[in-house]
Amino acid sequence: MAIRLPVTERAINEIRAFGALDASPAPEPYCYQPAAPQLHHVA
Amino acid sequence: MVRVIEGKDRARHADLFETLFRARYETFVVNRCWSLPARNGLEIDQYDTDQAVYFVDFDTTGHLQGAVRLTPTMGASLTADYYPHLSESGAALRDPFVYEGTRYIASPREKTPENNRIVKARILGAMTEWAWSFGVRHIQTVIDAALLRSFKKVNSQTFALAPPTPMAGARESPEAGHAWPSACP
Repeated sequence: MAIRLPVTERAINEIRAFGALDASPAPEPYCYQPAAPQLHHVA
Repeated sequence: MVRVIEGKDRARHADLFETLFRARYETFVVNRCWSLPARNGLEIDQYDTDQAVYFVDFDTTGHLQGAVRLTPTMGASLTADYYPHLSESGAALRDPFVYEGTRYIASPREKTPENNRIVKARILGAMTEWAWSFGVRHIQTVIDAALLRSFKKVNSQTFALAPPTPMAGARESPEAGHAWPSACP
């Protein structure tokens, strides 16, 4: 089965709630690199 | 910390990628018996391109506890390549605003239900936040139909592109390795 996970603020909040990330020791900060290769080509 | 690295930087992070590819080999080839290209204990395939984006989560002891690979569907989509029949909704499997998630690993050192949830949330959260920050609208993947409910528990807006249909995923299937692993999330 092919599925899609919508990328929304609601999704982010739900994922955090699922993992109780607010209560976990140190899940952040994430170390993001400033790039989304495919989107470089989107006008 | 969840590290986010592009495939084009593989040479600069050779040790990290070796650890990741070895973990993938252990997870998918050894433990799940998927038929995947592997060499010297490393699992690497044609979707490990320069444009792939990797999320890798190490715990405080250096154990790789979570990982996932995102590929831009315009250039690298195993769903479009191998499972085009899995979309009946009219959604294009190659879309500039859709990335594809594969090779998902969630394996805390101590496998308690709480640790499993935290590790899953860390890697899926990092992936989703990264995608959000760049305007990606959906993450696409292939799963066993039975897992749809568990995905909805994590992200309630998750939806299927078509009703369930027989597909690769069994251990003996050569394409099994192209599906999201059956134990997540």
